Amino acid sequence: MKKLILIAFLLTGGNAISQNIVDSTSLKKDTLTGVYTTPDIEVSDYVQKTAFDKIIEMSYSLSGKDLQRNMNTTLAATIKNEMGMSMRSMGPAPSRPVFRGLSGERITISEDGIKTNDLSSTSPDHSVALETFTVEKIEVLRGPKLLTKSPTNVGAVINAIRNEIPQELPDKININFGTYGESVNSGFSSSLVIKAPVLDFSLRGEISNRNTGNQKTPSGTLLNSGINTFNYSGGLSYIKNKIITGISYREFKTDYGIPGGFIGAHPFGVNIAMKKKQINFKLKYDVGSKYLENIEAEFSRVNYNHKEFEKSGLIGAEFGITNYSADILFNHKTSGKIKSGIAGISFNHRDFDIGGFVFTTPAKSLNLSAFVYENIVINDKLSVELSVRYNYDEINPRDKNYNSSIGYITNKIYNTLSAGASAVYRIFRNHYAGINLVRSTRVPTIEELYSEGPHLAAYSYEIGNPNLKSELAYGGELFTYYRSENLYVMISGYYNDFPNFIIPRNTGKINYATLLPIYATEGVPAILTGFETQLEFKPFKFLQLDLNASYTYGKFNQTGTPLPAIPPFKIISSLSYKRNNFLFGVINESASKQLRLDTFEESTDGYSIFGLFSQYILRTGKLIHNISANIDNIFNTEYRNHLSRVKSIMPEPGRNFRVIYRLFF
Amino acid sequence: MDKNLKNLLGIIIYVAISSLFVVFYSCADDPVTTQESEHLEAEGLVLKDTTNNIILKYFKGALTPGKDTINVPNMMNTSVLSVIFLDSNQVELPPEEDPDHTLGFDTYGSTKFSVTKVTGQQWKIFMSGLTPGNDSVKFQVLHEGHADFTTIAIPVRIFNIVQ
Repeated sequence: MKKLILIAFLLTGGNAISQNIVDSTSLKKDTLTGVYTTPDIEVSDYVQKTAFDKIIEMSYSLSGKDLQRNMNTTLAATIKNEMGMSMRSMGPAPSRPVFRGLSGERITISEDGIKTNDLSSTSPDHSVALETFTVEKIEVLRGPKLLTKSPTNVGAVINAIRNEIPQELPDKININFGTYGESVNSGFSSSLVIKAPVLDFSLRGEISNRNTGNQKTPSGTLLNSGINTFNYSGGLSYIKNKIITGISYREFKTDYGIPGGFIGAHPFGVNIAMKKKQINFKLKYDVGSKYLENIEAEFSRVNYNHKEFEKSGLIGAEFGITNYSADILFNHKTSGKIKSGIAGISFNHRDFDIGGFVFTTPAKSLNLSAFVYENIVINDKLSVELSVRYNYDEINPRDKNYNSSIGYITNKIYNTLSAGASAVYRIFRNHYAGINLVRSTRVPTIEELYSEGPHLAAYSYEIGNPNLKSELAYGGELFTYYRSENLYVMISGYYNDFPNFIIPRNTGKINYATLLPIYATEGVPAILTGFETQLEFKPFKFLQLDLNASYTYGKFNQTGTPLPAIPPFKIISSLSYKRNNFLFGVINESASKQLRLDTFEESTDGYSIFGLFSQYILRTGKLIHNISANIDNIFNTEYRNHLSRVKSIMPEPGRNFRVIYRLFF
Repeated sequence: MDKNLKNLLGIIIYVAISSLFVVFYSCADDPVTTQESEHLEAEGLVLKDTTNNIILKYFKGALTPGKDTINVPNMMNTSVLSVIFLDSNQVELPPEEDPDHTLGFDTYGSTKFSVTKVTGQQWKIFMSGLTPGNDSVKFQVLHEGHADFTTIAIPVRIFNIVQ
C-alpha cells in the first residue's frame, strides 16, 4: 500500500500531501490508466462533480504527471496540446491560450478561481501574469456551471490551481522543491513551496523565479525574447469545525522582451515590465441546514502595473489597474431530483489608468452580477444542468469627449443576460451522448470602446468604437463518448453564431501622423464552428495510445470571408510505455496549412514535429524525486504557428532539451 | 493546553498574520504617469523659404510632384526654412507654442548634408550641403520623447553651384 501511496503522491504532483497522504482509503483506481490516484483537490468551490464536469475533467484538465511532463515556460505553452487548444503569441512571453478559435476576453484565465486581472486579453504583446511552475492543476471550466464565474459561456475559464489559501490541514510540514531547465532559450526556473500545519491553521508559502534568454529557432535566434520572472506568495487559513477562512498575498514581477523588426511590431522591439500585487480573502461556512449546504465568500484586490519601454528607455505605454472583486455563493443541498445548485452574486470594480504615449482615456468600470445554477438528475440515465446569469455593467471614461474622431466618448451601461443548458444521456453501459447550449454575452472592453492612438509594442494605431453593443453568441454542441477500462473515445461538434462578434481588424489604412497601420474595432455577425475528437487506447497494461484532433472554421456572416487568426486543423498523438515508476513515450504534433485568411493576413504552411518524453520516480529514504526529461522538436524542424505574430521573421523554437526535477519531503 | 486558550491563541495568530499581510500589501501602488498636454494632430507639412514660397509639400504619406525634394547647395546654406504643419484638410496649423513639442529630424547619419535649428526659433531650420549627391531626411514632432508626427524619408539633393 505504501507503494501505491507513493505513486499517488507523485502522480498528483504532490497535491496528495495536503490531501492527507496517509489516508489510503482516499486512493482510487483510475479506470483509464490503471493506476491509483488520490482525488484532485477541489478548488473550483464545487464539491459535487456533475456528468458534464466529468467529461471536461477527462478531456480538458491537466494535472499530476501529465502537467509535470508538459510544464513549459508559459501557461499557453503548457496546455497548447490539450484538445481544442492553440496558442497565440508575439514571442515566448506574451502568449495566451486560444480555445476553439476563441481568444481574448472570451477565455478567462483565473488562479484558484480568481481572475488574473492582467491585460493579456487586450493586446498580443501582453503576457499572462501567472507563474505556471508552482501550479498543481490546470482545469478548463465549460458548460452551464461556467456562468457562476463569467457571462461568456461560449468560451472557457482556464483555472490554474495551487490552493494559495489552503483548504485542508496537512498532517505535517511538506516541502516541494522544483527546478526546470531548457536548452532552446538557456532557460532556468526554480521554486520552493512549503505547506505546514500550526494548531488549527494551515500555512502555505511559495517562491519562484524564472530566467530565459533569447529563443533559438532553426533559422536563427529570436532577438529580444528573454523573460525574467520573480514570484512569491503566502497564504494562511483557519480551519475549524464548520469554518474555513483564509487570506493570501501574492506578488508577481516579470520583465520580458517583445521582438521587433516585422510588420505589426516596433522596429527595434520593446521591453515590458509588469508587476502584480494581489490580496485574497476567503470564507466558507458550512451551514448544515435542511436546504443550504454552505456559504462561500471571496474578496480580492489586485494592483497591476505594466510599462512598455522603447529601446531608447522611454516609456511608450503604461497601464495601471486597481481591481476589487467579491463573490458570495450559496450552495444548496440535494432536494429531490436537484442534486446540487448554486445561487450567487458578484461585484467587480476596475480602475484602469493609462499613461505614456497612449491616447486612450482612463476609465472606471463596475460589474454587478447575479446567477443561479442547478444540476438535476432526472433518472439514472439522464442528467441536466441549467444556469442563468444577469449582468449590470457600467463603464465611465475619465475624459468625456463629444467631438472625438471615433465617436461620442461617454458613459456606457450594459444589461446582459447569459444562459446555459446541458444534458448528458447514458445510451448504453459505457456510452453517453449529450448536448450543451449557450446564450453568451460579453461587454466590450475599455480598449475596444475608447482606444484612439498608437500602440507601439503592437506597432499599430488602434481605434475603438464607443457605439459597440455587447457581444452576443448562441451556441450549440453535440458530443458522444465511450468509456471502458482500456478505451476512451470522444467526439464533439459545435456551432457558435455571433450576431455581434467584436473584433479589431486591420483596415488597410495608415495613420498619417505616426505612419502606423490602423486597426479598428467593430461588431460584426460571425460564425465559429468545428469539431474535436479524442482517443485514449490501452492495448496492453504497459502501453497507451493518445490522440486528439481539433478543427475550427470561422467566417464573417455577411461576406462569407474567413475570420482572422483561426488555428488550422491540428492532431496531437502520442504513444507511451509505462512500467513501474518509469514512463517513456513519443509525441507528434501535426497541423495543416492555413489558407483561410482574413484581409492582410498571411498564410501558414502545415507541419509535423516529433518529441520524446520520459519520467522517472525515485524514492531515497524520506525523499521522493520526480524527474522528467523531454526533447521537443527532435528533428529541429522549421515550422510556424499560424497564431504567432513573429512568424514572418522567425519560426517556432527548434530542438529543445527540457528537464524538470521535483523533490518532495 | 486548555481548548479555549488554544482557540484564542489561534485567533490572535490569524488576526496578527492577516494584519501583517494587509500592511505589507498596502504599500503604495505603482502610480501611472499620465500625459497632460495635447498631442499635435498633423497629417502633413510644408517647408517655406524666406519669400514664403513652398519648396516642399508632404501630405498623408505622399510628396507633391515638383515639391518633393529639398535642394541644398553644396558648401553653402539654404535660406531659413519654416516648418509648417498641415491638418487633415491641408490647412496650415499655427506654430505649436507648447515647449513639450519640439522639432526633430533624422538625417540617417548623413555626411552629405546637415540640418540646423535657427537659434530661438522652434520651427525654423536651415540646411547645409557638405558633399554633392542624393540623400534623405525625416522630420518629426517630438512630444515628451515620442513622435506625435513623423514623415517618410524625404529626398535631399545636394548640388554644386555652377559659377
